[in-house]
Amino acid sequence: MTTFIDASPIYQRACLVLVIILLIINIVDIICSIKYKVRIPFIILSGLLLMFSIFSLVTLSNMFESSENEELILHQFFASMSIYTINIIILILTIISIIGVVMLGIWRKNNISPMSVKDSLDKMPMGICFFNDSGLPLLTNLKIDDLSNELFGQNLLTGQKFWEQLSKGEVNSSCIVLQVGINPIIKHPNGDIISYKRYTHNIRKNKVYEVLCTDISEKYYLSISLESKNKALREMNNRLVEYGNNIMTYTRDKEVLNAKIRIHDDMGKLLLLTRKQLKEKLPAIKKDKMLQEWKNMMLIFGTIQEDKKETGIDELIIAGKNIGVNIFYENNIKSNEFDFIIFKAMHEALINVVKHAKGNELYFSVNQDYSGDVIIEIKNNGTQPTVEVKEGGGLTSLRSLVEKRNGQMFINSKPEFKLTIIMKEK
Amino acid sequence: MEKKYSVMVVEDQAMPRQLFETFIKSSNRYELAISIENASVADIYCMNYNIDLILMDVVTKNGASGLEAARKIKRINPNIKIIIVTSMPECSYIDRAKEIGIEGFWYKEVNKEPIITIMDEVMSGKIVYPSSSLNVEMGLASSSEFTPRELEVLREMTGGYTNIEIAHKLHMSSSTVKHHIISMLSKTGFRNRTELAVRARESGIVILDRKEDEI
Repeated sequence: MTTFIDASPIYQRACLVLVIILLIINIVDIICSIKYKVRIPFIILSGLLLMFSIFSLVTLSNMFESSENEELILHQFFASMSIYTINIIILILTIISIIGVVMLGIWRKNNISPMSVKDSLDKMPMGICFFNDSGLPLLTNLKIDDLSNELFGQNLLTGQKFWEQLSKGEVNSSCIVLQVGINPIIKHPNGDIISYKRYTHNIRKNKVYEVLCTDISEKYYLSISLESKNKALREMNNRLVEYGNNIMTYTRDKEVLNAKIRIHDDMGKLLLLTRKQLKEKLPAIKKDKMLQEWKNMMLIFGTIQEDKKETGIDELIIAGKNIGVNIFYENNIKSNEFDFIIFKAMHEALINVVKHAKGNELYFSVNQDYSGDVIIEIKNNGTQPTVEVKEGGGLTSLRSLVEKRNGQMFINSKPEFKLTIIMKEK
Repeated sequence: MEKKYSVMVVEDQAMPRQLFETFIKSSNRYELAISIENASVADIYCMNYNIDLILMDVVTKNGASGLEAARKIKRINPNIKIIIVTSMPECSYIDRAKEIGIEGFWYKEVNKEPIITIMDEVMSGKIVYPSSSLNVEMGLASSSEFTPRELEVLREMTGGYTNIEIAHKLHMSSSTVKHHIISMLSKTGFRNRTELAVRARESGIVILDRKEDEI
């Protein structure tokens, strides 16, 4: 059996070089593992390999240099090892080292190093920080330190305190607090509007808080300008509605004014013509024409009516009188909020008194009692009903109108017919 | 002597009312029973006067609707013949009048035939309606270029309702409402919906009934 001692110098040197190479690979491996913070078992394995490599190197080099130190047991152990064993050991070590390096490469390809994470966070425009239960910051970025300086005059030191003060709005006076609570929104001195939100994560059975600070300036200023535009639109809308409500009146007033102007002008012309006739006799044809114009003018004057400002209720009373029913109407309330209901009720009562009761007098009173309720009472002098009055179409629709406005309607049939409506003033 | 038909005139504008009265008085087939300005009391008068024919305007004093009055009267006295007379080009009046069973419809301004002719035809049993509603100029377009749905949306717009409210009232989605408005704007050449609504209101092509107050 050829031992290491017996082997050729070339072979001994080759082994030495190989082990040195393995050592270098392992050293690099260890350094990278620690730098990339790979899993602990991997580091331990690399460590062991490294130690073994160093040991092998030391032993081999000693043996190589002085073959006289045969007292050392290990030297003897190695020296007596057959070449083949040593070959195999070195081969295995090489393979393991290569595998280690390859695995490290794969790991590196699939994972980001912590430095990369911190670097990329620092370049983000939003502020971000992670802190644990006791408030100790685990990871922050440059932006959140900037924000923290503007808010509190110092870098982010305690996550918990940072968040608590923020959500209460206890910040520097140079920052304007727009919203507090679980989503604080702050306007920073440079005009940026920042929205702060806190998230909770469970990472490896530990509670980790994350605070994210996003710039919502654009959205915020857009919403302000939108609100002012909406306000302007609402006002425009109100003007449109008012216009629609009044257009009838405006058109009529315009027409009346035009008619008045026309009549005024015609009258003026006629007067001038008449004056001329009185001063210098006009030819007969023109005189006849002038007289005819005067006749027409008289006709127009005869038909001009003053625009009567009657309400619907007045017209109803006139209508009643025209068909032979006298309506005694007494309205003791100031508001005309209920005029519409009064009209409908009077309308119904009028039809009723003519068709069913065959009477000719209607008593309609509107009063307000001490509690502010408006009470409408309607009676007539016709034949009173002998049985309970059944509500026909008109009374039913009146009831639904009253009840839609939170009012009440009662119909008494005995001893006399009485319709009562109670409405609450707005 | 032939029996004269008894006519009630429901018209709040003095000029057309006096015109009708003059026509009726100068005719030997008709006599004027009563002339009123507010359609909401028309049915009251029908109870006492033996009316054969009513000349009813649609928009009368205090906003009282002639169509609603006609509906009430037709329910109680279906034998009374009614002719709607209006100057409003509002497109839905014709359909609503037909639905109520009104016998005649006449536009005041566009009088190709005088009202007396229409009255004669109606009293002889005919139903007389114009072939279509009045065309009104709306910007670069004419009102006949609008679809019925567009006109419905336009009507609500004159009431100042928002798109969402219009969509709810007409059972459409609000994007459909916007689509109709955009279509009308492109037809008329108006710059915004306010111009559209104002012109619509001015011309009377659509008139919003404040139906909340009606029974």
